[in-house]
Amino acid sequence: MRFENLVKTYIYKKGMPNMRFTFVPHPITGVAAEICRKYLQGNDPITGKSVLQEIIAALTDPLTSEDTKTGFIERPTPRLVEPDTADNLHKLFLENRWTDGLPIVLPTEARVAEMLKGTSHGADEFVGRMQPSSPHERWSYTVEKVAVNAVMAGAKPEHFPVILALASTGMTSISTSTTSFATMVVVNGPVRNEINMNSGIGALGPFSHANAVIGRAWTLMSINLGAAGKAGETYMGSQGNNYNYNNMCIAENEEALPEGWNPLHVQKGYKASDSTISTFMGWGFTHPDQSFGKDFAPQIPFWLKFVSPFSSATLLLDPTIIQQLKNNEGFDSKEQLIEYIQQNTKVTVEDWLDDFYAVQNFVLPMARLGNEPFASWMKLPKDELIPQFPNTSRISILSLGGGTNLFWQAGDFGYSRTVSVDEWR
Amino acid sequence: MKKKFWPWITAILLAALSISGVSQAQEPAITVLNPLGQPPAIERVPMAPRIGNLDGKTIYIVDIGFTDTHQLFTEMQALLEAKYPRTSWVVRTKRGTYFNDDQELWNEIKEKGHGMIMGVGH
Repeated sequence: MRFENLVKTYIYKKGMPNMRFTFVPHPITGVAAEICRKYLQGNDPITGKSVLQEIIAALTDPLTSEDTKTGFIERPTPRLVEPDTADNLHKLFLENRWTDGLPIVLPTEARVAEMLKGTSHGADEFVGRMQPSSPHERWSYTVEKVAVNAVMAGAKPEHFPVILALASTGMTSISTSTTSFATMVVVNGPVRNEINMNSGIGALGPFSHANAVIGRAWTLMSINLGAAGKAGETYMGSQGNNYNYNNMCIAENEEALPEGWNPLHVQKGYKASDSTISTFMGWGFTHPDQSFGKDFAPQIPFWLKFVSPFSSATLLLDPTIIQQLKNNEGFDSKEQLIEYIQQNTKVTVEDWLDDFYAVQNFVLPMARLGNEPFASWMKLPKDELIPQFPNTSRISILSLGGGTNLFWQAGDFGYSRTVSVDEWR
Repeated sequence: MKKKFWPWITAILLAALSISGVSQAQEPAITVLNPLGQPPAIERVPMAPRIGNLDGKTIYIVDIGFTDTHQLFTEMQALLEAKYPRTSWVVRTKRGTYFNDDQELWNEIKEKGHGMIMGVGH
């Protein structure tokens, strides 16, 4: 049963290890009422007992002494692993699922001490807390713990402030959701060039040590510091997401931005001379083609139709595209283009409501609470056109690539937050 | 002539295996740091007293708002009502998305209910 371990480990962590539960066959989503009835009249697929009888027993059977216990269960994490040979330790890390499945650099005391030289912060300083998703428990970690995972990822001390900044967000890169989320980290400011990040030709490819290890460190931190990535317990993504290996770790190509087009961190209120990381969350990117003989901007709304109406959009534009938008189509800033996209990307109310999963889980509950614009949109005629993205904050634009051709990528990623790297130097 | 090579080859192989075995046995143990963060302490929560029997009781069935949970729970309500007619089975949908708390509903259940069934129709 796909959810049995999730339920058992979850109720243990919530302090009620004997909470009573029963299962019906899965899935329920999209199943007709009569099938639901049949499931309820049948047996729990795990215990083989009647579902209804298990429910009644859960309500009426007396508690045991174990059920009423109070107190605390401490779970200390030892600082060191039992000494062993390098081969055996590699095996142990792999078997304990402390890795992403790829070989790691063993975090010896000497290597971790070297990594700690990359920051002025003390090894014991608290950095943050991370959880696989909001209902799950949050684990805490120090600078030293972040250094251990940075070493494992293959990072160098010069990468460490960026990795610490990422850790300070407390954001996991491996969310529990059955939808298989992915994340993205965007580095801005002088630190990009100081550590030789690649924002030019092949910016998204495996061509830069810094891009590779910073992205990987986020995955290892999510697993080891944020309790994520245990399939069937803290990870339920049905298909998984290949982006989870590196988390789209990129540096914005700020040097290619024309006058008036600000880099992401300046858009978010930082100075151009500040170094920052920004995090995004979504599911994927695609590589739309375009008609070279026509203006580029009017083609964007068409290509964004694949994005869920309740989602966000992020465009990764090659500098050649940005130059065309600026010089030939009159867009003098990212903000101007974002506003154009928000105003010109529309869907009918009927199509919007057809996004079953998002509407059922988020739109309807928010509309019932009176949240706008959803409450008003729900009352409109089915053929009425509404913005696909309710506001401009749902749209992000980044400069990325080496200018070898007029290509771009678009995805359903939404911006989360920006934090300082300089504070972790 | 060929036969004379075999003892030499065997000796070389044995020596190689022996060297490799010695090398493995002497591989030093090293110390590495544990990569795991610190989980919070788990606070044991005593379970609510059970109700013994259902007669005259009110049991809430709480839909947390996930996709088809409501349909599953209205079916459950109908089946339980038919089987236990002396019990009041009340289906309620929690306010907001499944991430939101609903203190008002919890207060109502504490005041008027004798038990609660909560679940996800996933």
